[in-house]
Amino acid sequence: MSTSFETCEEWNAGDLACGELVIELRKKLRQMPGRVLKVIALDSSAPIDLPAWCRLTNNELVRYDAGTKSFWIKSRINWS
Amino acid sequence: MPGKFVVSLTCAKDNTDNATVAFVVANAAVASDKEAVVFLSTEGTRLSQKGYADDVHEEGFAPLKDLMKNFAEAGGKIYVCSPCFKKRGLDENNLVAGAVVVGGAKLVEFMGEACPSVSY
Repeated sequence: MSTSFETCEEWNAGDLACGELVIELRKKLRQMPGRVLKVIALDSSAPIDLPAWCRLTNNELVRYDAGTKSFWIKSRINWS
Repeated sequence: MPGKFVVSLTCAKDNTDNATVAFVVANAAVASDKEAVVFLSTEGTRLSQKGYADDVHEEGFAPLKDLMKNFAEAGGKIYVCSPCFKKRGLDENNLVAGAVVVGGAKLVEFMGEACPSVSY
């Protein structure tokens, strides 16, 4: 099944970083298993931290756009 | 990626920068599916008391009380060193969410043979 990046939900995380960013991201993704969330994260550490977080938590980083500081993350199915 | 993670914190209002960053990192751990514990010892035990952290807000970070609340709501636990707690005359009936007063054996048991940790 293809995912439309144009119609997915969006969250502007602003300047959030580190633990503050990922704990809020986790809350949002838990509410939407299997769906894609577009995250706009402005902090300079996000391009390193968010891919690492996705690997740790088995959420799929399906696309990253450096120009707009946007990350499209597919929420895993099996949240416990 | 399951596993455990311990953040050891020995500061409270004597170093609000360290106290804040400790809980930011603890939030990163619990948000990364780790079984996360913040171990409060010496001065850090004061953070176990409801209301104590309400006026701690380091520039550039969320208020400490919010960081602690988010950590507990995500399933994180706060172990509070028992002798440090008693020495300061703190109140076991006034613990923040997620906090439990423990002895060293509980921490040793939790950490087991291989548990990453970071200290502040």
